[in-house]
Amino acid sequence: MRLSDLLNAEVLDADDNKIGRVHEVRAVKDGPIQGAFGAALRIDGLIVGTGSVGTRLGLDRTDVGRPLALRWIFGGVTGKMRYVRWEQIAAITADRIILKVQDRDLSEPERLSSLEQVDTPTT
Amino acid sequence: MFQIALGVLTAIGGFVDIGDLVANAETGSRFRMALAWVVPIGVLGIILYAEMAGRVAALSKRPVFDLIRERLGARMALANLCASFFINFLTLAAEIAGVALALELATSVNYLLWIPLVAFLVWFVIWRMRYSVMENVFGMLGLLLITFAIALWRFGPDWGALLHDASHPVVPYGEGHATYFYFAIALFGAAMTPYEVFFFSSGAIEEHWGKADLKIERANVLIGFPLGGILSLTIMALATLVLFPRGIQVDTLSQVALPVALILGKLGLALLLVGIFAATFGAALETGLSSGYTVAQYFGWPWGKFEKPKDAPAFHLVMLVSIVLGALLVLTKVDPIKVTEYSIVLSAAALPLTYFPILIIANDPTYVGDKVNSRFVNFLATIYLFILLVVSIATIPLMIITKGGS
Amino acid sequence: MAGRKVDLALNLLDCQMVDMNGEPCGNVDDVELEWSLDGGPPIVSALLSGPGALGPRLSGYLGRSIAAVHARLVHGAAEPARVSMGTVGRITHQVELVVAAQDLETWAFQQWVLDNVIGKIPGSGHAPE
Repeated sequence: MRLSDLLNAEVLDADDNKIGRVHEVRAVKDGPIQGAFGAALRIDGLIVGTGSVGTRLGLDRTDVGRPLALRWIFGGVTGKMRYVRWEQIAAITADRIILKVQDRDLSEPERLSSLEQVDTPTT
Repeated sequence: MFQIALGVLTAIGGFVDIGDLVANAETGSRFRMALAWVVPIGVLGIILYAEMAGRVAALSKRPVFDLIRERLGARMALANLCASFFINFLTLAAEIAGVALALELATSVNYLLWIPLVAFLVWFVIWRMRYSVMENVFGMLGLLLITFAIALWRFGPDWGALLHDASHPVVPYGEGHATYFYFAIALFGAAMTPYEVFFFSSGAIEEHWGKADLKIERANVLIGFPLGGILSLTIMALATLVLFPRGIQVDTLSQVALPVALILGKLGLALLLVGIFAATFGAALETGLSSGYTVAQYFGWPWGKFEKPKDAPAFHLVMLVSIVLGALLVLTKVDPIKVTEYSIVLSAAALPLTYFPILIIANDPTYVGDKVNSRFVNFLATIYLFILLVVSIATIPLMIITKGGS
Repeated sequence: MAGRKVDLALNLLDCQMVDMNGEPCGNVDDVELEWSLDGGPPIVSALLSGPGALGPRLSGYLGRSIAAVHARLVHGAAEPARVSMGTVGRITHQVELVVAAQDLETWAFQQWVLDNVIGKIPGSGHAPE
């Protein structure tokens, strides 16, 4: 399976309601060791939402909110975001993802700062 | 100190390429100084834009197109790449033609006959000559464009009248308002050419700029581009004073050089032609390299003049093909002045594509650490984003209405 | 850092890969996910690069054309080049690999260009002087 199969896939909850599309796939670095990389990236969950542009550009991450005018414009477009843990997924088909739970059982995704997610550059 | 000189020269010489020569001369010959206000706006725009791109390149060690892809995603960035590459290609063809036209003016040998040699030289310099040498030589010779300023000074114009003309813009009788704004866009596009930014930021990496070089980078940008803008206005003023009263339009390069020939005679013209040759040749090198930079950076290929060609084969292939195709385009006897005009107008229309992601990235600490845009810069930069969007939307309709500015 | 959270689309996808010498060696055009043997969540197993990976993501004529041209030039390149996660060192704003560019599957296209065009031009082995 490829990441691109998950991204932008339509997500339906247990009652067949459309929740949104997959904007992001969040992983945790606590899998089995892979050579030089160390602990593998294990998929933790999906960020599902109705907006798109602001997220793609990273404007919803905690410390990139400037220029303000753009954040204000795109903030309105981001829409409602939800976090789907991997265990909450019932099935993945060719073009959609079906959940075991209902919309109201989902919480908002944790907001992460951009620097928390990467190794610091050497220079 | 040397590095400042280097950057300043790039900015001046790079600022004034065939697009600026044609745009400023043509505007002056038709509208007098009524469009002079566009130049400072364009200069401030390119300063903002280049400073952000240079800062991003120096701190993230990554150049523009690589980051555009990462930020906008592969699909949008590919559309972006296609547009940018095409416009860059037109500019490359125009610059190659510009070099040949300068040679034609100097030797009376038809410019078409010079094209193969010019194309080969452009390719060869990129293939073999070291980056810093290339910049220095062509930058220095390009300074001979100062001949324009000397000619203006020798002419002894009524500075007050020129200033008044510039600050009270009036569309001259016989020209329409649509054409006026079309040329405003052309001038703006000539000032804010994207290849400048691709080149400047890729160059920052070629030269291994780091955090320590940021001050130099800012000096380059703050000194070089305004000087280039002043030179542009000089060209416009000369056209206003010499071409406009005689009703001479700019159809070929010779009309651009005419004021200098009339005021400073053969020697002045000779020096000017060396300057034009160097500036357009330098611009041809920059656009040639930019064609390689944009494609290679989008696909993640190795790139750079510092690389042996065998370590960056696809990069060199793209440049080789672009130069050959550019030369072939010119050889179809398409009007080189028209190609120049289209390249600058379309450049203006396409600016938001590359400017917008850079604005976002210059605000992102992941790339620039703590040197994100200050609020002042963001304020200006956001205003410019809206200016660029307005320009972009207006371009094609104006082009159609004015039939390409005729 | 164990347990660190990483958003894949933002930090991995479309990222530049650089080799152990800092040389660019392609982009992360897609990410291969491997199902876990114990039925748990999948794991990122490899990075995919090249038109074989990029083509399917870019619906539309241009994307497919690029993929087709590339596949024709480099035999068997309809499959994407695969960079296993074991060769990845660090993920910063780019993906730093611990091997050399020429040792990766991503080099195949560059090699083709080198063999058929660039290598045939005198001076290709010289750094500009």
